Amino acid sequence: MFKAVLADSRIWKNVIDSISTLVEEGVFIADPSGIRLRAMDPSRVAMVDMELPKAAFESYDCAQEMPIGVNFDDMKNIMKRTGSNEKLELEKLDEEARLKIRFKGKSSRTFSLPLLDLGKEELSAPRISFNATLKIPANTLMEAIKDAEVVSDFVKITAEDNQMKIAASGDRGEVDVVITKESGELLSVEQKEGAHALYSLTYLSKMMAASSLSEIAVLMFSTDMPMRLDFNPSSGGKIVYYLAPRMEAE
Amino acid sequence: MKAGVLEGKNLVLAVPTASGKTMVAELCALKHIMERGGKVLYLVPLKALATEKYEEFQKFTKIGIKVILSTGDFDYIDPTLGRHDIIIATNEKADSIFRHRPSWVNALSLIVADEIHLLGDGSRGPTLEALLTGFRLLNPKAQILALSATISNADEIAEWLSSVPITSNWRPVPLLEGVYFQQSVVFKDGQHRKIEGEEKDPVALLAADVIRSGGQMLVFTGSRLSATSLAKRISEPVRKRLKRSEERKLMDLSSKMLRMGERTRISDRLAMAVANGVAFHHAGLTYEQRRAVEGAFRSFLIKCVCATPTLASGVNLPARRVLIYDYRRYEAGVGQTNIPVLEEKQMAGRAGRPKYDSQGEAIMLARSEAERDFLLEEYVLAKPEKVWSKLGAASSLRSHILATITMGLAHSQEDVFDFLEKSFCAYQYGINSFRNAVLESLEMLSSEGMVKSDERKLIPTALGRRVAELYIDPKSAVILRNGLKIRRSGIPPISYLALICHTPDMPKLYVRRRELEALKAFLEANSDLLLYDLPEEEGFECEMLLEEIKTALLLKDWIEESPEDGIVERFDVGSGDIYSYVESAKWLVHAAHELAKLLRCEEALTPLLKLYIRVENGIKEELLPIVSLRGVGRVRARALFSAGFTTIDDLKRASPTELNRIPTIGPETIRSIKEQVGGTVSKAEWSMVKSKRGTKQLSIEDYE
Repeated sequence: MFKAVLADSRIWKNVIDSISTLVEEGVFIADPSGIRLRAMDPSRVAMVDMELPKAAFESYDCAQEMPIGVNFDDMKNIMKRTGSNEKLELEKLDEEARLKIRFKGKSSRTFSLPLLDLGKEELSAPRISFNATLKIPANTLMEAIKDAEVVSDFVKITAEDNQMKIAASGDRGEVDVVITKESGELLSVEQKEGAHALYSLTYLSKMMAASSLSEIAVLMFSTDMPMRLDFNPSSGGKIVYYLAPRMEAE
Repeated sequence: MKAGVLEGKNLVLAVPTASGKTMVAELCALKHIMERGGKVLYLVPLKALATEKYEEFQKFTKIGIKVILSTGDFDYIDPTLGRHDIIIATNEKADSIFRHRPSWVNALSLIVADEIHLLGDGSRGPTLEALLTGFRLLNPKAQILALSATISNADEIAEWLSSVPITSNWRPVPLLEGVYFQQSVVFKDGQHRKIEGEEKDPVALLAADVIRSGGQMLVFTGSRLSATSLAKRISEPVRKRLKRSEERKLMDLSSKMLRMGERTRISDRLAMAVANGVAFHHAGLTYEQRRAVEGAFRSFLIKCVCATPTLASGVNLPARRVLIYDYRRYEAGVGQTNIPVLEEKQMAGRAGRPKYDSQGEAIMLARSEAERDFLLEEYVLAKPEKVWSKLGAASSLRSHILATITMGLAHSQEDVFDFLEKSFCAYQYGINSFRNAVLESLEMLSSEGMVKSDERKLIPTALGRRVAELYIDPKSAVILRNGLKIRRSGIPPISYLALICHTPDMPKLYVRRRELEALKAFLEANSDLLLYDLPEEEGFECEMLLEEIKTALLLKDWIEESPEDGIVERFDVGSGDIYSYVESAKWLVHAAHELAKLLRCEEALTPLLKLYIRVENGIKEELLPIVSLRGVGRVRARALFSAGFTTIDDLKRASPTELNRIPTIGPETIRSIKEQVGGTVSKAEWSMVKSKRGTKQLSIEDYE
């Protein structure tokens, strides 16, 4: 049996939005320490890695590991129904293939979501090290992505000399966005060496769905390697995305 | 050396490797083509050797000689073969070509049979023998040049082929043969040499010693497992002797090899060894991996290769020192046996690189004084065995007899005996030694409706003809036919897979004791799916059955798109093995499909055709519509499917930009897909694709 209560239902709504932006189906693993999920998008370009520890919940009760397979579209539609100032209760009995989702505010409303049997094979996170780590406001990153989308469907991200550059070019024109430490927008930079890589804008903008969870994004990457994008909600837990790069075709 | 070979005399040349056999063959071929406008067929026992020979012969294309490599499916004959001067083929492929009787067979003026000592090989020998016997009947004027390793009855083979035997022990690089025991090698001539070094492990000691003097070592082991573990064992001692620049190049090579094909624990281990200047080499590796190892060894980058004996009979990869680590080998039904001297000499013959080494050393490894004396006596000083024909075995007889009849080389029982009278088997044992086996085979062929007897004449039936062309054992044809006769709808792929695995033509996986129960349980639970009857009692047949089931399950995993690494682990095979099981399965599914056509089993046609494409590509049924596109294999088809493009129509409607978002789909592929499916594409997008420049999305899976 698994039962968890979140003080603010909108946290769960945002978590679901951040996952459903990439994947249609996935398996949460609930265990005594909390809930986690790792899933890849169907095209296998990006991965989402979510964790919500026991401490992030108002109350949390789970005696043993339990897979909870869900269709994210369905879950997202249920979560759309929540309002402000509602508590959220998640509950699954051992023998039932359903998850109870209860909103507790002025009234108590209970949805029951049929679960999917997707097995519980866990993915491992990509094994990569990063040469550059950039901390920036999620909003600034989102604006830069929107700028680039005007002209292309992928961007070149560069980190060098304590600057971050986001550049795109295509038949529709070119754009360059520079984010510096001096302007205060680049909150911190750590880099072993210069790094640059190409990434799909389609995926980047999908991944910005998690900006509702945290105002700050941490972007890590190396030259021509996958990017890792972290959002750490103040209420605890994490949403981490991995995105494979694009490469110049021969 | 030229005992009339250039005048057109038949010749059997039994001399050591790398002593100029190939050169004699080349001169002879040139003479035929340039002076007489002739045509040459060059026979080799292995595909890898065919490729090697093909590359060697490329130098003649400059002077206008057309060379072609005939590979591919047994039932397909490249129609352009007749337009080439030199045709290179494996024995099996050539045999299957002859069954189709192309007109150019009569135009052949020279046939080169490489590695003719394989006449004594149980599985390959009979084909080579029947091929040569039949060819001499079809085209008695052609010259035959047979090349052999050193054997003791080359004169017998020569007499059989009405040719002149030439035997010699001369080698361009002298060979020292010896036995290692306790830091010292005793050579053939009684000479001793102490091997100095700090290593305790004799293999590491011998490796370090030869590398110090700028040489390389080839180690022959009895099994893949010991090749792999030995490579690991000597990794550290070898790495210590590498130069800085070599270490860097090896690191590059190692990471390049990791990116070859799907990643498995075997490829991981290989890459790790290669980084240390060591490699293992066996049939479990993929073709690319083997080629990469061979290339790096030839360029002196890899210092030591631990290989199974397939390498000794296969590609030419000489080394200054050859270490024969195992002289015992496991053989099914027999247990541990000592390998033949012929095989030991083949391995030893790999010692010494022409142009680089002034002498080669072949060393066997002794663990005791008694063993040292045994090895000296029984191998180092011994002469290779005689080669004995294996054609008399029933399984090879029925197939070759059927071919003789369908090719029109025999019209009656007497003709069949006349034909066999000319075989090496009859030469060695006399025709009477296998008369009964021949009669039984003829009986089987007529009772199964492949040959009709009319008066005293033997006439091939349509079934018989097709079976011979399909190049399957008549017994396999019977099993397939009986299975196809079971008519019910919705027969699942596993049933057909189990059926082809039930034929003697399908190689089978070895079943381990711990797997017995699970396979038995599977068999019992699924016996209604089988298209053949189960034997009544347990025993040998039941064990064979479990091997068949295990093999069928591997194929099922393959067409369910299981990752290679999972298959490697579950079935205890290498990637290269998966490939060879898939090749055999493809051929037999094709044969089943052709028989179904002939027997008018209409309901089996579509399922078998689908199964063929699924086996060929290793895909689930849902990918069938898109995998037919050129340039789209299993990986890209899956990527397209996952991204929602599941039909040709979807692809017609898709914009290049959309397709470009999918991993593995670059501009080149998009252009090819669009050219094939049609549909409208905006000018701007088309120019992006046309220019070939652009970017390609990678997959996050590449970094797991």
